Amino acid sequence: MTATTRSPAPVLECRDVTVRFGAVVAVNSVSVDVPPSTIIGLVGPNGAGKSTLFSVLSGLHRPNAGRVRFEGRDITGLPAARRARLGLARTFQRPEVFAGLTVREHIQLAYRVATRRRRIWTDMVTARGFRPADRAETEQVALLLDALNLGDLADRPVAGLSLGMLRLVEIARALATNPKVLLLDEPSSGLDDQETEQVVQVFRMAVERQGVSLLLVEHDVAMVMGLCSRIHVLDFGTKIGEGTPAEIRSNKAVRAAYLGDEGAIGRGPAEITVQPQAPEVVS
Amino acid sequence: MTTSSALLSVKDLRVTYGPALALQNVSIDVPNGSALAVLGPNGAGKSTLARAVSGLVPAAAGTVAFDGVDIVKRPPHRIRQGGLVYLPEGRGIFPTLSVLENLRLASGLLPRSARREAIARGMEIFPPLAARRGMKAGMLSGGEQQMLSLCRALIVEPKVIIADELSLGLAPRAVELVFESLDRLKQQDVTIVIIEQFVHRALKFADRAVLLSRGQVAWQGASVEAKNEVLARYLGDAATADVA
Amino acid sequence: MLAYIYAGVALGSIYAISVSGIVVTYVSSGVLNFAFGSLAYFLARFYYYLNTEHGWSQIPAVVVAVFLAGPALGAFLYLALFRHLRLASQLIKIVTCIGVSVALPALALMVFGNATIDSAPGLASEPVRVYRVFGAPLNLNEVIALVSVLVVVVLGTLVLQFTDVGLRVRAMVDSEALTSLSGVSPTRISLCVWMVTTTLAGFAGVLVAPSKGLTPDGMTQLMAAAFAAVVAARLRNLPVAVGVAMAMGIVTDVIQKYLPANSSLTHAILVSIPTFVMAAFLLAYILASGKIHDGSATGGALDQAIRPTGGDSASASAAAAVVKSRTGWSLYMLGPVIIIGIVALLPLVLEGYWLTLLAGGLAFGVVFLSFTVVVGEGGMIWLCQAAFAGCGAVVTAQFATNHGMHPLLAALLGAVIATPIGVVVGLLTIRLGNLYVALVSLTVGMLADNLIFTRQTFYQDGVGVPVSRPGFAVDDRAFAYLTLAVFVIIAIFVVNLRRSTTGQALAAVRYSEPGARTVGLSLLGMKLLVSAISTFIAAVGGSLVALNYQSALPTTYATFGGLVWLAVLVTVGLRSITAALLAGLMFTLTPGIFQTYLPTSWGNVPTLLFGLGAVGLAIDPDGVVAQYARHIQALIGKVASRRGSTEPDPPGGGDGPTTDTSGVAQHALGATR
Repeated sequence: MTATTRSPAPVLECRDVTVRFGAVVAVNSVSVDVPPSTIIGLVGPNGAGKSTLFSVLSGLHRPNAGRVRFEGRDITGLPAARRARLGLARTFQRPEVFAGLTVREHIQLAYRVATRRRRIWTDMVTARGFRPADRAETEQVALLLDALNLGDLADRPVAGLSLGMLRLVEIARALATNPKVLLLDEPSSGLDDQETEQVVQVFRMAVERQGVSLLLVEHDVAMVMGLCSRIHVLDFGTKIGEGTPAEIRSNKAVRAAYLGDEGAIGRGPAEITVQPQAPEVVS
Repeated sequence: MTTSSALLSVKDLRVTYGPALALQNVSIDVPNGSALAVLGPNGAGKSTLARAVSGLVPAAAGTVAFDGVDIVKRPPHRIRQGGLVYLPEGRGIFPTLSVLENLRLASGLLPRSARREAIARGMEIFPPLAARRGMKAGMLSGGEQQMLSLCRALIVEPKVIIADELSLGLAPRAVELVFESLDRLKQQDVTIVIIEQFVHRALKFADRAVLLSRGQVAWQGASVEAKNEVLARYLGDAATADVA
Repeated sequence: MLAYIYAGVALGSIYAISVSGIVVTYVSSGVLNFAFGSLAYFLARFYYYLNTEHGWSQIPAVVVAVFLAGPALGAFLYLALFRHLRLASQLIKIVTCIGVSVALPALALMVFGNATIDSAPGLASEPVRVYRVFGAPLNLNEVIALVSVLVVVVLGTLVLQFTDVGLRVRAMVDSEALTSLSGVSPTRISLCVWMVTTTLAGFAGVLVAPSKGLTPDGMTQLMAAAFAAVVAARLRNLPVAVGVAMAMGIVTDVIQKYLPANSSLTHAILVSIPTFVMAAFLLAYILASGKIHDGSATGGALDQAIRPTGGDSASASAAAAVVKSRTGWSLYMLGPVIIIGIVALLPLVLEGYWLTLLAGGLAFGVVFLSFTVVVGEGGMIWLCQAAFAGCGAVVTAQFATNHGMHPLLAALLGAVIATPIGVVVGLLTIRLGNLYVALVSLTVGMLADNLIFTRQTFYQDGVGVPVSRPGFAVDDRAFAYLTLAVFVIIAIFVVNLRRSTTGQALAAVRYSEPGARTVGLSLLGMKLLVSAISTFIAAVGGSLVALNYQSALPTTYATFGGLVWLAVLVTVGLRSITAALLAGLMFTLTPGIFQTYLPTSWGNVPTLLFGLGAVGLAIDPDGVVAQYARHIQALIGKVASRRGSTEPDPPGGGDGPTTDTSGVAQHALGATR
């Protein structure tokens, strides 16, 4: 994966998005493009505004300024549920799973909402609860369970599963909606090395087989570097860098943001009193 | 390093956070009067370590010895009474109480006769606080709030201070002040554990460093040796290569 | 005019004392005290017992009943119950409070005797002395109320502002975690707060008794009115709460000057004032900020951070109790079928009195299914199901008796008419947090009590409108079977609902709103659906209860009574249809057994037990049925796994969400072995 993936028409794009909480500017005029079938990374120190940007993209938070477009269509004012139906799925930093449902039911529900929405209402009166699921659905669910290695846990309620498993459940649920873009908020935090590796495999597969685009917020920089074709770096709500992993790695501003070199600490919002000096060279 | 010389000694600590495994097999010794920097990327378990040591979250296994006593099952207020102060991430102050009230609350651990003097001493160290004694702590600037948080710790003569991201979101001058105060404490032989994003600052200040990664100790050693380790772990191996 | 103001200030003072108690308890211990009314009743009844029944003079009686018994009761409740609920879900906290508020009045009746109290004296000695101030009469009870609120406000302010204890209480409001990090034990502070606020409850009870009467209902109304001010204060802001409480009291009395005396309109307006106040503030807050969370009672970022993820152990284990593949038939459906089968045999065995009780129990079983849907499935804490049942009942009676409609058709019509009311309540509460939902629904229930059920058209001097059973089910046996049939039909509907896509969508919305929205579900649709279904079921059940008694007696459907229903159901289990059936039977048969075989003085024991059962939820959140079902399931699981099946054992209730990775790893190993 190289810089050639910069294709002409992005599936998801945000332009100059700004979010303010009171006087604090959490996201300051940030633009991000997500082309089809690519993995884009979004990194930055704690409190850089990554999760807020995700909320804006997925429709859980209205931006103060800027537009969000999906397949060319302006969706800035569209509620989250409508965006999900268009093909925009996401996972959460703290998994938002449905504690009372089993792993299988998570996937079933997402699949049904995406494919046969009316069943939410009709099932109530057609006694579908007493009949087995149809074949297409069973196959699709089995496929996802298999891909994410969740087969053994399929009929367990998710309450009581480990965080790693919950992340897999969320990813399975998101993939079951047959999304075009999947937003992943810190998919590897709280996972051990083996679980992280498994998640990475799943991401690669989703892009290759389903043609999904991924936008990834992640603190494991090694993982982001290995997975993404393009990386955006946020700090204090502002985009301070963008480029291929190699470009990001040698970007001085990025290094400063991560290490807090003495010259770089002055970028606190509205508190700049000292001119930034050249970053100290690490010996 | 032997355990007997350590004021604070964490052994095989394991913390589970709801469904997440937050810490595993963490063992750290902090000798009396030393300063330790706890580093690691977001989500590595730095704050969890501090919260477990201070009693806010329960440990699933392991021991935390403080002054030779196992405190792992003690509630936070008992640990605080024993002389271990945790300054939490964000601002360790009560925003709706006034500056003076914040200090009064902290001085509650001292005998009644010593409180007034302790508060006066604290305000001498941080003159801006004296000027704003009646102001609600929530109205102070970020730097002043951290000053207050530190002042609350200072006036009761603690044995250990665990400072969690005190410089987060502060202007450079305020960061300067925070570290000055920590230096002062260090000179008074208070044992200090700092959790920091600003790696250089932290390493300059501390004698030793611990690097956490995915809830485990990835590396520990003298802080002068830590820089390359940090870069390698934050930005990948190539980062150290192109600098070196 | 002045006389009205004096009376209003006195009433406002009592409200103000109550809201101080409720708000301070909430902000410092995280429990919104739904038992406040019962605490007030219990202590006021104790005062009456000492003062009126045993001839103690006012001062020693109030000292013992309020200032000694109050702190003792508060300390007991906190140490025995609420201390353990720190991390529990709002549902558990509310139900525990409801348990207390059901158990305490029953206990009071047992301890202090169940004499009917027509009028209770206040703190002033009878006859109450009347002064003339600026030409208007002002009686001593009013003076005492006014002085009391001044003392409470002044003393409270002094203590909170200038003492160490007060400082610590205020610190707790900001952040409990940070308070404990300052070396202060939160448990001790909360204990103090509970002792003080329970005393305030008792004091408010003694003050309000002369005007509102010494009954649990009257005290619950006091509490419901106080809740309006609590909502206005967004649960936290003490000065606002006290101010609104005072204003509400004054408006309530002053407005009477301009309204015709003794008219039903006047009465309707007066009782609706708290509801209007609550609605107005809620509306203003929603318009201003879009959504009202109750979030956490005490809270800074640190408190949020150290709270375990994945909800509390209670909701998680409640969820874990409903396991198993939910497609197609399964072995686990056998249990309910067998139990319903056994119940179906009962009408053949039982005779006379017992048969009547059985039929009533089945009718209540239907009502309880509405809780199963709204609370159990929807996760919405509605406390007004009794009012919906009552709506169904009175409408049925009107159509059947006054318009000659077939009773079953009338019942159906009653349910159809009640359903939109439920939908409106659903719509009103859709953007509110759990606590507000409970508060609003309780107020709606109280409003129905006061506006609808007291109307002479329905009340008929306390006998209700008669309604006869359908011709084919006149005798108790046939009626019992009719009711059972209705129960089974609705139960099948509920089970299908739960197992179908609809139920999955409901669960999704209930457990995670962001999760549900990003999957593509609309919250509005799902919540309104739950509201409609549960209201419909409640109304059908209410009609059946009326048909059983052959009268639509409004007092059967008092909101306070509805709390007892919830307590009974919760004792048995909130999430299973079998539990609803058994709870219905328990609700009528247990008192029957006590009345028949035990001395009359034991008459209140069943209610006490129901209350204690709900309190038991603090200990086991699933209720009795779920608990046993889990044991049995675990047993079946073991037997099955011995035969080589890979069915996992359901996790035990105690595990909660803390099952760690190694547990899962072990499980995976066990499965492949």
